[in-house]
Amino acid sequence: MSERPVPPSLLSSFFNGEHSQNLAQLSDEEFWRYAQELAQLTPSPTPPPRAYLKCALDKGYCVLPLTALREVVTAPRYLTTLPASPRWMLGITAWRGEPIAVLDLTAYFSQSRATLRPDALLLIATNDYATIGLLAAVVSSIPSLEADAVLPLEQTSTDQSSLPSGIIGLYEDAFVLDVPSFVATIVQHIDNGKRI
Amino acid sequence: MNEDFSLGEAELSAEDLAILDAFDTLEDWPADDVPVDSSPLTDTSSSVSQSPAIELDDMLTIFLPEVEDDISSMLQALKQLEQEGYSVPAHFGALQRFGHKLRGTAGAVGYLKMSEIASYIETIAEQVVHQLLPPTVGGNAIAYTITVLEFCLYKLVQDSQEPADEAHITNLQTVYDHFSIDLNQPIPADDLTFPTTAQVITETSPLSSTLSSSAHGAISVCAHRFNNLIDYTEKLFEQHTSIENAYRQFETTFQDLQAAQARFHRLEMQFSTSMTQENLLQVPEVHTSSSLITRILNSASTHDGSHTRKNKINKTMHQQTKLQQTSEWDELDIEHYSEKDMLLRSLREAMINIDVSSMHLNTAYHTLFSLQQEYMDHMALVRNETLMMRVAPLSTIVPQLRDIVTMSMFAQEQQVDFEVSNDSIELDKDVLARLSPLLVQMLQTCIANITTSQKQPQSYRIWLRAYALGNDASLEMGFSMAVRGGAVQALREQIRLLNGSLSLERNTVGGISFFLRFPRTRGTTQVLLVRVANQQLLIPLSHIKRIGQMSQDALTSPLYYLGSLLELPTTHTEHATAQPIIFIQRPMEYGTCEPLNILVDEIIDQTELAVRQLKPHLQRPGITGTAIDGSGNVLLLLDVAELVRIYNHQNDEQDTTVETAVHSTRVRPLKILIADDSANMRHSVVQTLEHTTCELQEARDGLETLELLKSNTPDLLLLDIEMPYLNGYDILDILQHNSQFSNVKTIILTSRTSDKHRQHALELGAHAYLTKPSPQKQLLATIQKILSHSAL
Repeated sequence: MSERPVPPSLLSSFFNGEHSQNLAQLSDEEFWRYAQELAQLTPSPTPPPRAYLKCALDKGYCVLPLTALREVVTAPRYLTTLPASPRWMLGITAWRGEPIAVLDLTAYFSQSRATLRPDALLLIATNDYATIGLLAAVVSSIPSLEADAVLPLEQTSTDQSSLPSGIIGLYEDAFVLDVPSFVATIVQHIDNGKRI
Repeated sequence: MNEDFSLGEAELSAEDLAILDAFDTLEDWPADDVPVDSSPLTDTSSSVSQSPAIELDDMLTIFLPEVEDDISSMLQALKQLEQEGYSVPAHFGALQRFGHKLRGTAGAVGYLKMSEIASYIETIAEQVVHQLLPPTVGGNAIAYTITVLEFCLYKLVQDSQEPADEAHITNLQTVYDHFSIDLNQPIPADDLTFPTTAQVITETSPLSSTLSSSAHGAISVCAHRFNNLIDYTEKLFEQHTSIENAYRQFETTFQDLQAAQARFHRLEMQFSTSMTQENLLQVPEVHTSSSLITRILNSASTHDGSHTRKNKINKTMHQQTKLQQTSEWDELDIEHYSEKDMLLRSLREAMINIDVSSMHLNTAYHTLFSLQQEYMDHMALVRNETLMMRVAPLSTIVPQLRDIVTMSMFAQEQQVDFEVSNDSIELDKDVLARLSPLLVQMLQTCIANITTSQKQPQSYRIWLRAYALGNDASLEMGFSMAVRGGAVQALREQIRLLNGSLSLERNTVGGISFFLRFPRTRGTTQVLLVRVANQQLLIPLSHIKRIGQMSQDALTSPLYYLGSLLELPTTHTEHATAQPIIFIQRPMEYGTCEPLNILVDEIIDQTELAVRQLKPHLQRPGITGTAIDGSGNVLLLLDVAELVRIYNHQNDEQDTTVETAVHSTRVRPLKILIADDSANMRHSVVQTLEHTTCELQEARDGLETLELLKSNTPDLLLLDIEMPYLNGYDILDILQHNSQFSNVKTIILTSRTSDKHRQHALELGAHAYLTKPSPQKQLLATIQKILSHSAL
């Protein structure tokens, strides 16, 4: 079944947690009229949502666009250790029948040893060539993030040499990730490990 | 070697295209009465048919190099197609054009057999382009046809005439029959209007003689749908682990339910007993009986002073009633039951309901289980039968190999026997399709341009021996004579596509044997599931010689803990005597069998799993694939022998580092291996280096070079390119792919001067490239530079 387009106002209120409250405040008549309007919406390409997930790091935060994620699932209980892996890589798990690398996002940023955090979520990120799992502590969602709100790294005082590739800028206190490029860099690091 | 070879129109020169056009026009001419001067060839200087005065020798002078070029171009085109995995059928257009051109030129100069053979190439390529033939099949058939064409060319050069007999054409027809190729199949007039089904009537398992014969009722099936069918059956089959897991969970839950039931029963008993005791202790009120008579008597007794006696009677009756409550329930006495009685009664009813439901559930479970077992058995049958549709015996490709040997120049000059054993083993059609060109190329590379010092024809042997164990197949291609080098490097990519490995060694008759190992099918693999630390891992059963215990087996070779090989974190270092040991025996790459004792924490199960390759960035040496168990966990399939090799190499490196640090003042003489098939050249280099402190070794050919590399690894290798058995590129390739040789520096010392060779050698990891004759000064300076930290 195709997804019905949802008015942006509803999307944003959903991410704000106000959606159910708004609906609850509608009278029956208003509710059904609203439902009817939704049902009658002509299917059209969904405007690209600008919703982001905010994840905690050891120092600061990072945000990832929801559109760049294939799925958000609970952390796997068991991970298979892959020899000659980077220290921030937890192992491999099966996602939709395919083995994928899982890494600790926090450890990747700090280049430290990975820890399997039970409260973390597994964000399935992908680019054209590979799929990986990012284990991250999601703290909140950002319903809409305008491009001009992101400050390019060059315009900040951040030491770029200590940061991994695939960061396009800073939004408040969070690094904004360019997921395809971020994934490509990670895959490259993992690939380097096999040359032992 | 790495020349870029475009498959478009560009590979045909203007001259070629002019010839093509000319022949196209020629074909359209009416058979008779066309004046010569009206020929469009009038202005084409390259035309051979336009010069009746040209003598036969002159024609041959023009024709032969042209045919050689065309054959060479076709081989290159085939090679590139193969590297592409035959993914673009349209790229066969180049072969079609070359075939067309050769058909015309050969026909024009009167070499009708070559013309006919070239027309086969044209037709087959055309059928592939129009998707009437699978590209892999077309590629194999064309490769074979080119071999025959080369043979004709050879005869033409030798005898100035084509082969007299028709045997090679008959052989070609036999091969085409094997491939289910119908050369007379009509080509649709219009590509665009060609029905979509044409794309799907592509695969008739052509390599399988069992399927190609109409006598067996073979049908054309859609390759895409057939592959889908296999995928679906694989997925269905893979579900059995999930289903088994679900059953285990159900069993566990059912056991929990039964335990809860039992507890419930106990609690009910306790409750019942407690209530009985409570009722016994309580002195009940007078209204104890439900009987109207008793109540009347009771009421009367309060008036006639017989209170005590009646009370005692009532009390006894009440107790009896209570005690009977466990088995009886008198609705008429309902008003005398307390809430607890009612609760107890309800509990008992609920308990009986649960018991009955549990019993039904158990019965249903067993019925479902047996049905599911039956279903899984059928599923396994379907899957196996589906996979069997893809298999064909190795013997299918043997005639092609035999012909290549027979038609080789070497076989024309010497007596060569081609022996095949155990070619009845069955392989997946895709595996065969990849294996066939690989073996063809191996044979062609090895026996091309072999020269012997013997003037009289000698007897030589080439053999192909096949072995199969589980899903693993192993082929030995053995040669009793010194062969031409180049096979290892040329076949590396093809072996990778086959998901196989190549090893080689000197055989008992002094020649060389290549051992090719690869999976027979893409189906499941029999594995042993073991546990090490908290990880579950898979070892192919075919690698395991036997299983023992630490306490029972006297170990003659080193013992390795699997956790250490994989660098898994372990909590203990002492191993219990009851721990299982797996005895592994499998051929090492470029070496002989080496028994290995592997300690694991637990052997869990022996099972059959569908194994797949990891994505390239997740691939690691010693890990050959993965499987997913019923819980969705990824299990690594191990090549333990490779893990041990890596482990030992890393330990050796560490030892070397420590040794160097501790004994930094001790200088070991540098070891230099001089590999050249020319004794003069070796002597010359030895003379140049003999005044140094280096320890010098000499190797006369590629195989000896490899043997010395393994037995006494040098610091520096001075390597010639042209050598028997293995050429310099082969050796560089082996050095590049085996970390045990990672410290060996290599200087190429060759007579090949072109940049192409230099570039290729450097790409394969050579540290320097010198051409012969290299002045002593230059050689010494280069060695000094390469070993910059060492004193000569």
